[in-house]
Parts: sequence; structure tokens; C-alpha cells
Amino acid sequence: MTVELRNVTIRYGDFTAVEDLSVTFEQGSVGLLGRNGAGKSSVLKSLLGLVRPASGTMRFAALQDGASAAEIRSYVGYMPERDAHLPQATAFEMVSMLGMLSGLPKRDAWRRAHEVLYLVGLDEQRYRPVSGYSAGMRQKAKLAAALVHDPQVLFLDEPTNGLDPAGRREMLDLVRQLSRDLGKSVVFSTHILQDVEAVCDSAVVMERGRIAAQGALKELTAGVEREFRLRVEPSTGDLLPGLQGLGRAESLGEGRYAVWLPEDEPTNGVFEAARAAGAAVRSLTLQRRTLEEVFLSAVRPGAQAAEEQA
Amino acid sequence: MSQALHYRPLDCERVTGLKRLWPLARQEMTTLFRTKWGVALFFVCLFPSLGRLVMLLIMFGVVDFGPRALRERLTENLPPDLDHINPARAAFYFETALSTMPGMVFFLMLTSMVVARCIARDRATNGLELYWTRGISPWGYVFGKWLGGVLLTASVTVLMPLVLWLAAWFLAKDSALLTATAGQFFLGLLGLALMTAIWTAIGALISAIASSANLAMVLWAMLIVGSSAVAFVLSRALGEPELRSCLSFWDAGRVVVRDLASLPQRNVSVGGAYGMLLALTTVLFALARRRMRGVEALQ
Repeated sequence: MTVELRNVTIRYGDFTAVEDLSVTFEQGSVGLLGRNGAGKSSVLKSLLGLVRPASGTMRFAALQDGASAAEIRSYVGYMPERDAHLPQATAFEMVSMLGMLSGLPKRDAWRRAHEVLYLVGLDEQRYRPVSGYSAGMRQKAKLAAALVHDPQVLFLDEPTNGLDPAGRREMLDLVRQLSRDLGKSVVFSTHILQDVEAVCDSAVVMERGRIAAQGALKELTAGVEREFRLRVEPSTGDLLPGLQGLGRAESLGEGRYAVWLPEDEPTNGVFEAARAAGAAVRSLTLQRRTLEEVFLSAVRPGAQAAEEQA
Repeated sequence: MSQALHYRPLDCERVTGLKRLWPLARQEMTTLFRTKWGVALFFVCLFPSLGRLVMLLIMFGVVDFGPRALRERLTENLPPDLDHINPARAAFYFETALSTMPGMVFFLMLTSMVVARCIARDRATNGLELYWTRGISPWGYVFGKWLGGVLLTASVTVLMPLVLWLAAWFLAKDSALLTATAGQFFLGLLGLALMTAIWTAIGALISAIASSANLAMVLWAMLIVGSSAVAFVLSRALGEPELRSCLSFWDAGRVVVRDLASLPQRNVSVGGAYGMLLALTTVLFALARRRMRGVEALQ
């Protein structure tokens, strides 16, 4: 465990942004998904110590209970979604200044600024003002600033925003390296589900201040029933009666079938059904749910409720 | 160390408290010197003090300028009304910083480029989001910015009078007259330091409230010049000269410094001046508190 939130409720006046949220961010990378207003930013704000939860507890593995907000912010790195830089500052000045404000002595802050700017690929441009950077370079400068004080936990808010395909791939590679090679815990807040699939090991889907789905990506996308695509030859025989005895099945034509088997049903039955129909199995592949399907199925009840309320 | 990424884990003691905020103050203090126009502006702001230095050189006969008789008249037996041009009086050293012209004008030029813009400029580039998600509190950030602004402004309003006074001491044939001014001078210097701190705090609070750097500059200029103009007109119209020290932000500060230095003052309300500054600071602080909440950093 790196960060744990237990029964956290966040309120702004009468409005409850997050209600009774319990989630654990483990080492590795976690996608934080949700529509606008789902409560993602409120979770980040509370994790950064900028908002005090109305109830519940937050625990950082490396910090003692009751750590001050400033201590927490020294321990975590945050990359904001919006374009952000310090006026007139070069990338080196910005990153080293933010390092010093995180508590690094000047000499260490300077050394770290050079190192992290090299890491994100801005070493050649480090003495240029950030205001003159392209969108991709600015994103990298923000990532360098988030890394300068060597945080154990990184909160990245829409890190691929405004990047071209090449820049996006570069950023995702970098984030993957941070979590897999450097052992950082990365909380990756985004709307782009492909980014989460590319980088994260697990995901948390939030809807209306609550957790709608949570778990390892493999588990989330596996579903309750296993869906298979079956192709047999010759295609003349009718397998449907035999397959329907195992679970649900549907003919897709020309010897192709979609088969849904219960979790505990082995696939041997499929081969036996094919043999009984005088056909041979040419391929049997497991279909996974996409993260988009997981996301939509998780947030749909909330969206319907909101529409009904409206 | 990860060879592929050239990433080394950090191994150092973290600094806390003022040491952590000092880089912010240093950055603010040097912000004016990042452009040639800023450097030029700073040296322009030193002109009045440099003019006084030339006066000292003439009065003490180091530079031979003007008729001798006039020089002698200037250095001897000046009436109290002309204390501000008499090096034997403490007022001589303060006047550049406290006068409406050129003191207020140069103070306005300097502070509107630095103090009044300091927080609003960061807000415009979303810099607050970067600062406040570090190991400092929002008010720690404001303090760091203010400290930098105070140190820069004090180099003109406090340091230059001190340099002038030391120069006069060095140039004088004997130290009798200058040691006679020491008590009043250092109390006045303390007053100047206090007023610089209060004036820049008000400027920084305006910057914290304003939505843009330009708006902050306009508000700051309106506060200094506008309140002086309104106070001048009202005091004349109502025949109440004390009103100036109660309504004008600049005049109130001047009255406070002179009061602390025990310099003679006429037609002023000392209590009104203290009250005005206290009320203004309190109101601006209350307004700034709403904009300086940590939750404002992320939207």
C-alpha cells in the first residue's frame, strides 16, 4: 500500500463532492477515471492536503499519521492538467525553484533539475523560457517539476492533454518507465481510456463521488461471463444445439460462432460439441471487454439517475 | 541508479521554515533585474537619492559648484521650514523617500512593477497551481513574495537614506551635527522600514485579490495616487487639513514615519493615520483570504 483513503467524505458547504470513498493506491500505476464532476479533482485535492475531508482518514505509507499538508505535498508529486509555468522562468529555473520549495537545498535542487530535465528529454532546451515552449515541451516541463523532489507518489492529471500522437506515445512511455522501472506509484487521472490501458495496471472508476468500479485491468475487462469466438471447419454442420448446452451461443455464419461460457465451465465441451457435429475447431479465442465498455457500464446507472433527476 | 534513465534517488536533508521560503523571496527580489528595462527603472528610482548625494557633496565643499555665499547660506542657519534641505537635520535624509514628489512617484513606479504584480502574475500563468502543490502553504507563498518585495523596495526607501546619512557623516568636518541627528534618524529609519513593510503588504494583498497583473497595477496606482488626490481635494474643500492624513494612503504612512521619528508635524491626525492604515490592511487581508485558499489552486 502506498496511499489509502478510508471512508473519505469531502464537502464544499452543502455540496457533497465525494461520499464514503475507500480506495487503496498500490505501487504501480492506477488510472483514475470518471466523468467531469465525478469527484476526481476533489480526491486529488484532498490527497495533496488542499482540502480537508469532512470525515474519513487518509494514510500515506511513508508518512506518520497526522502529517501536515506541507509534509504531504513534499512527499507527493503533482502534474497539473492546465498549462502552468512560472512567469519569465526557464525550465531549469522553474524546476529548481519548485524543488527548493519542496525542501531541497539549493545545490541538490539544481542537480535534480538537471537530472529530471534530462530524464524527460528537455536537457537541450532547459535554458529557454517555458513560455516559449510547445505544448508537448510544457507537459514535459511540468512532469519534470513533479519529479524534482523524488516523490514516491505521482499524481498526473491528464498528462497527454494537447499532445500530438508522437508526443503522446513519448509521454506514455515515460510514465510507464516511472512506474515500472523506477518503482513510483502513479495515479493517472484522465478521460482517455486508451492511455490507461497503455500505462496502468489497475483502474478506479468514479461516478458522482463514489467508486463505480475498481480493480486490476485484467479483472475489470474479463467480465463475469467469458466470451469466445469459435471458427470450425467444415462449416456445414450445426453446432448450436451442442454449444447451447454449455452456455449461450450464437451463429455468426460461415462456421463462426460467439460462445459465452460461465466462469467455471471448461472449454473442453466446445471441442466435444464440434467433434459431435463432425467439425474440427480451427480457432477459439477469448474476447475481453474493452475498458471503454467497463467505464460505460460503470457510469451508466449514475448518468441515468442524473437524467431522471433533471 | 537506473542506468537507462540516469535517475538517482534523492538523498538529502529537507530544509524547513524560512529557509524553504527564501528562494521565493530571492526570486521576487531579483525579478526586476531580469530585463534591461527593469534595471533601468531601478536606477531611475535611485535618482532622487543620488541628487541628495550631490547636494551633500556641494554643501560640504567636496564639489565646487555655485557661488560660495549661497553655499554658506545653505549650510548655516537654515530656518526649521527648510529642514528637508539641511543635512544637519534628520528630515534631510528621509525627504526623498517621504515626499509626494519625487518620493511617491518613484515608489509607485517601483512597487507597481514588482509588488503589485507579484501574485496576480503567477495566477495568470497558473503558477499558483505549481507553487501551492509544493511543501509550502498558500500564506507561506504570500509571505515569501512579500518578503522579496519588501527587500527590493527597502533598498530604495531604507537603504538609500542610510547611505546618505553615512556619506554625510563621512564628509562632515566634525561629527557633532550628525551624531546629534543619530537618535531621530534611526527611529525614522525604523519608521521607514515599518512603512515599507506595510505599504508592500498592502500592494501584495491587492495583487492577491486582483484577477490580472494589469488590474493589480491599476488598483495599486489608484490607491496611492487616487487616495492622495481625493484627500487633497476634500481637505481643501472642507477646510480640514487633517483629513489628508486620514484619507490618503501615502500621507498616512508619511505621518506615521514622522511620528516615530518625533519630527515636528502640523495639521495632521496621527491617530487617524494609524487607523487608516490598520483599517485598509485589515479589509484587504479579509478579501485576500478568500482568494488564497488552498482549494483555489486546483479547479
